[in-house]
Amino acid sequence: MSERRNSTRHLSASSDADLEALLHQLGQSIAWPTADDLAARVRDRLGEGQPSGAVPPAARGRSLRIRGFGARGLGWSLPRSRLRRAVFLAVAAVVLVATVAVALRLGLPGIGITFGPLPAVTPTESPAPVGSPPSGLAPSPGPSVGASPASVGAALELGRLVTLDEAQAAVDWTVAQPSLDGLRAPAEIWLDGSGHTALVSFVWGAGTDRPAVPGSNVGLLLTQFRGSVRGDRLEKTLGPSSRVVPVIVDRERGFWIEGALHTVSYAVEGDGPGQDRVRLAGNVLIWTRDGLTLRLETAADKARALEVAASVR
Amino acid sequence: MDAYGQLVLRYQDVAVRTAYVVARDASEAEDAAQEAFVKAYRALDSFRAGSPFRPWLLRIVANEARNRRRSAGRRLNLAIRVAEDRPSSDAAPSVEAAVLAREASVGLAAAVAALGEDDRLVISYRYFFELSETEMADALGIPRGTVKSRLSRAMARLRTSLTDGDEPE
Repeated sequence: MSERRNSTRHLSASSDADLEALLHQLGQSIAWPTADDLAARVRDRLGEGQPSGAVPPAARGRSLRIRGFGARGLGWSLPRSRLRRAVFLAVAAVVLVATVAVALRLGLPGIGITFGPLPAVTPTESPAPVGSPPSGLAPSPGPSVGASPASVGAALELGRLVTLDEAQAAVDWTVAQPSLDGLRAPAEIWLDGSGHTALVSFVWGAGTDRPAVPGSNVGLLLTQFRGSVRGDRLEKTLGPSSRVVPVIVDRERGFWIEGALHTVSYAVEGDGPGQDRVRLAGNVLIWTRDGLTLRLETAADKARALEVAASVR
Repeated sequence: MDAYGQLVLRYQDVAVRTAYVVARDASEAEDAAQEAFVKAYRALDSFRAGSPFRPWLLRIVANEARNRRRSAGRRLNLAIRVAEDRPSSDAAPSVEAAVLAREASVGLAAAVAALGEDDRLVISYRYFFELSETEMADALGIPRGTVKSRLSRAMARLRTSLTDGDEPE
């Protein structure tokens, strides 16, 4: 069964409202053919007084404009004889997104996903403690603070180990937490930064319903930050085999990403671009809630990830 | 003609897109849209004053596209464009040009394209071109009360197409 067939089966199970919303969005994403100078040609036709159905000589060999392909919405104005080739090349460009980095805005605050080759590998320099991310990850910004080697998230370099009260006091939003049994109390809470630019991460060790992410003892990693529509931005570079599926989490849009390692970077307005580092080699669910952008990294399947995400309050 | 030229400019995109949904060929869609505008102009005397122009025009466009369709058996190709990476300040939902993930977009577009003409048209009118039910009734030439049932049947067949995982040709 093809991946596309899996993808469409997922869509077929969507609610009426979700499917209608996806169709609305699809209408904005289709590369519709667009005729140039139609008004002028209609004017010519009416001025010529030709019988209905005739195509005026001036219209033959005219150009068609295909919008939407290429950066900055530049259109191509091409002779008709080259149209099919242009369309073929444009479609090929879509297919080749795995090798040619092409930005795809996903519509979540501060998030864009870039399909492209994985960045150069920077191997870890020394044997990592328990919970170490696998090799092939981007360099980390610095060590974790306040963590013992036994900490589940120690090797993930999520900032400093804090209590929930400390995390809440450091950020300017209400820290969101899962409400599912077994997930109400994370094993560890990590804080990186403060104020509106902070990242708060909850880490649960592997356990029942929380299979260990390969290369670690982590069962779930939930990171939240305030995704600004103005400056904050998160990018993921996905490998050629990565798969992105749109999902709905508590009436909000989200995306399920699976199939390959991801690198993660983000930029905060005023601070310039910042480099976040790969956390885990698992799958990723990204969604928004009340102005927060949440990222769940897990080895669990999509259904379980959605269950966890829907419980976040 | 200047006033009519403004109407052409205003509705040319939806006209070409409607013709494309019916004719399934960009060149034929362009020809059909052009001819429809010419025919609409010549038929303005029959246009009921005060009525919305768009559905009346689209009815002419769809008929013209059917008459010009030379590509029997051709599968409609609803290619998904890749959006430019807009500045983050443009991240508001209203400007999302490429909100769907690539695979799901392609799969959903292929499922729509695999539908019959009536289903493609009613779904396109409602969700792609955002016509009201009244406009859809006028454009499709059916009673307003029939629009919902027609749309409902089209959506049911779309779900079937999605379940079957119909692949584009």
